Amino acid sequence: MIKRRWNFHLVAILFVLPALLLYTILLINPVIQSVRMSFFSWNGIAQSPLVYVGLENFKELIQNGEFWRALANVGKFLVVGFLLQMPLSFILSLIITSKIKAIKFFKTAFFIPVILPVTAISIMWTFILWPTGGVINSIMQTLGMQGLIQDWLGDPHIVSITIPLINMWIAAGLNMIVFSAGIVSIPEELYEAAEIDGATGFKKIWKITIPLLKETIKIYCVLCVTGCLKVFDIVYVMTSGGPNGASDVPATLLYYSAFKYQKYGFASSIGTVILVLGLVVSLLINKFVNNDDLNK
Amino acid sequence: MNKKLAKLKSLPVYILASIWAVITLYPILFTIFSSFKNNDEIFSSSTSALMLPTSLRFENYVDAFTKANMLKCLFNSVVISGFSTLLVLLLASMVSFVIARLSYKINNIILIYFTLGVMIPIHTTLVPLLKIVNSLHGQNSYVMMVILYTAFNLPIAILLITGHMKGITKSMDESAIIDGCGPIRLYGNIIMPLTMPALSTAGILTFLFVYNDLLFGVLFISKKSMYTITLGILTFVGSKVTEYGPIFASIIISIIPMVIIYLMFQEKVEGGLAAGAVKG
Repeated sequence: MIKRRWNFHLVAILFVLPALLLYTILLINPVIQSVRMSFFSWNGIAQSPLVYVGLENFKELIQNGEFWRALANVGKFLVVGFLLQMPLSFILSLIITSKIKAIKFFKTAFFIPVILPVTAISIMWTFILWPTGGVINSIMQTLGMQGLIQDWLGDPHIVSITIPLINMWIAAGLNMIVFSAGIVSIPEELYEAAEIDGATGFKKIWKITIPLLKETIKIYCVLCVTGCLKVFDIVYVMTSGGPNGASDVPATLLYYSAFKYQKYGFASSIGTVILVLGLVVSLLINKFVNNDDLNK
Repeated sequence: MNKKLAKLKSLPVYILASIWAVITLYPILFTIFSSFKNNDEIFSSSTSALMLPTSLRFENYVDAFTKANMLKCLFNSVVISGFSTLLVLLLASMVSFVIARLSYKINNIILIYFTLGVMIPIHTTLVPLLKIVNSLHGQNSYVMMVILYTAFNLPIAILLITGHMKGITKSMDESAIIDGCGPIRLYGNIIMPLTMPALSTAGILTFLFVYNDLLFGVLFISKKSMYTITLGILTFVGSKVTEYGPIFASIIISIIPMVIIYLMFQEKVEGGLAAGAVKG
């Protein structure tokens, strides 16, 4: 064991202090302030006082249709996340762990959306989805499927599905890596044994791969739920929450309440709800997950 | 199994793989093509968006660099991301060294305290954060941006680096200390070199996150000469432009650094982002 000497104690304090201070002042302190502010009303002017309003902000939140719509939109992100993105990521991870040629090319192609700035991606897709002359509608036109031509970002009924789909385009590659880390940790002998017993491709996946990926699937659940609660950039850039709030999510609602309408107390109460929901979900799911597949 | 049959069986896999590869790559190709086109070639008919450019109009890139000030934006982003990354690595490795190598009882609490940070949604902090930054007159400042990004990227870096440092054998320290090695040399000369894999992962992650971030730019930067790359392309799109080619060109300019980093450190980026996501 290391003999404790005064210089070790001193270094320990000096080493921890800078990070601890920065983190506490700029991250923990704002969170506490934000929770506190959700019980106050404030117009954002430094000189004007905060007025204590009790649970008024939360009451307004519950009675506010916009907030429920924003939560419903998170719900649509979750539906896409579980019904489409999870199977897709799983299939992609099977592809990149299979023995086909050009694996490296496919892996790179699948992963590349993950590393691009979401702002750039969102602008790119906005052009692709343009109602007239955009690529998607042009393809529909050329293939003679005029019925499928849509105003993808302008139609309030469609936009709240379009954006989760673009989000899936971004996130599938990352989740593919999460799944493939789980897949490669499954011992090869299990498959060999199953082959001897006459199991074929799909049966092997269904009976061996999926059951053994239980922990990875739980990790995916945490990632998906917390990720969906935090969505901001893509909505902010593509639609600003529009048309008419149809694609708002809690984070954009918070942003506009605070920085456009100067309702700082109300915005803080949204922040508190996102915080609590996120913590509860990750603690709940984490309680059931206790392995470290990816700790390399 | 004979070879022909094996090939036949992998055919559906190739088809699936190719379909998704087209879906992920085509939007990027479309953007590259459009960055060389003029408005006519993009919009003249309903199918012109699908066509190849007739000639390579590099003037779109010149426009992006001059009219949208992309060069300055790129410079700002690289400077802010670079310094944030260095500061994160320095501060995080110092904390991790204490947590992982010096056995204090309080270490576990410190680690848990920092772990909380990865679970906090950034948006919850925005309103008070703006108040703090304004009271410090920290708008439009490189230093403020670097400090903010550092604070927000510390938790995940500390988790990754601590995890790795804990794996280094303890006998290292003991023999070094017997030889009269002090704590700072132990950190700098012995532990840090052995932590390089985790440092590079955490560094790449931080750089990526900071470079790709939009939110802090929107909130804390208003001066045009301070725009980061994401803020730059966003305002370029929002401004009343008549030519679309330069917009596509600026998108390509903004993604090139990330593509280069990814292709250079492919395994690191993939594993790091996955580990970062799972830890968070």
